[in-house]
Amino acid sequence: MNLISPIVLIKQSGRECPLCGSKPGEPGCPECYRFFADELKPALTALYGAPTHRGEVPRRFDERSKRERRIAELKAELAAAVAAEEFERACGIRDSLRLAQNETEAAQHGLV
Amino acid sequence: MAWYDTAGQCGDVVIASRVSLTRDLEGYPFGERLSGGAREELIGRVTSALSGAGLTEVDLSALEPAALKALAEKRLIDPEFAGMELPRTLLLGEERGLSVAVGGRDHVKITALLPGAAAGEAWSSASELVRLLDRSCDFAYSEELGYLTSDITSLGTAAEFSMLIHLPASGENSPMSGLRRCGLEARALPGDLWSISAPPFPGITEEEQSERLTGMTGRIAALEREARAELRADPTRLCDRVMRAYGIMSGAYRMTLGELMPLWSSVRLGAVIGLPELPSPEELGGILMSVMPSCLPDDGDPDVLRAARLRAAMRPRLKESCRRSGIVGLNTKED
Repeated sequence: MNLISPIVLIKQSGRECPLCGSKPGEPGCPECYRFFADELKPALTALYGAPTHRGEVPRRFDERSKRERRIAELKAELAAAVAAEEFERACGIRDSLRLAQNETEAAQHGLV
Repeated sequence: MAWYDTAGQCGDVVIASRVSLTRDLEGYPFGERLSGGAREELIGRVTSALSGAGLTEVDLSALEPAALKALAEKRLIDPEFAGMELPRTLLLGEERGLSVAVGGRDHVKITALLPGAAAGEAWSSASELVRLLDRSCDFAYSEELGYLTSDITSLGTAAEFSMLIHLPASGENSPMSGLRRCGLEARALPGDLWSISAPPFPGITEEEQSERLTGMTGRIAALEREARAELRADPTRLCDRVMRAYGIMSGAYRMTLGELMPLWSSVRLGAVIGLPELPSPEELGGILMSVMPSCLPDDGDPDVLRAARLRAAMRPRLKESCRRSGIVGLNTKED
């Protein structure tokens, strides 16, 4: 049984959220979670430890995750091709990697 | 089809399953901080995104307080949402057990409420609406914390899975105190009812929440059925409990909700174990909902009105039962 609400562990500071104007405490908007990350850390740690979300992911993050995984796979393939001195194959992988990286950058700027 | 008057899977113990998904949009404050043009804009965006979902938009400002209370009593909206004074909207797909509250404490709360043990189906139904919304709205989200909501203690999946179960036989002997160790919470309600829920938490998936809840509820249901079987070993005592409650429900001229709930529970127990001449569990669910405060007329003593409505609902069966048993009929003008 929790005798103390984790909310009381939220650190106080003189800052105000740029979106909603809230001070550190109960979040007044989604931006509060990022802006007050330091102030909220003790409370979030008490509640959740070191969390990593494993549930459903929003569409925009899911696509970003897929792109990042693809880039990581291509980098591994490129390293393996170079190590095996399969330079022609490595060139093809390098081109695919550049394409994937360009797509990711374009998506980050809202161009995709 | 409403959850309270429709038979569902494991309906002898599990009355209903509910999944609520909370989603907030990036760039908008929570709750009452969201006002004016920003509030209208958010409501417009969500309503537009869900326009193809076959839901009906309910103008809450045009509803009487009793109608709002009725929606809350049917668990289609939270009492807090019903009582808000800021503009907000409700999208209903009542025949599918779906409701979407827009502009409450969180921007969007999608609820699927189905009869019986149906957590998986309710989750599937609610998440279909979330996917529709996700096409055009950016959800507030963090890769560590999951979905960001107004409640710092309800992050992660921001999905609450719960079941309403009826334990007239095992009740206090159920393993409720151990549920917390399994990540579940139990809340006792009048009428031997319990709400078992699997709250959200970063680090577990929706499937794990659903499985924990379904698995543990299954075990509790099995214990309840064993306890009911033990009651049947003493049929006179059991029938006396059930029929005494039935008699009071059918004959009282004044009935508070507090008095009604244990009686209703005993009659429902009789109905699920198959005692004859009782309303079905689904009929009992409908009867109970029909005598909730929001469903009673405004004029008159609600306890007297409730009792009259119960007599009207229960007496035809009592009369039939007496007739078949050869008992001389009741001499009242209501017969």
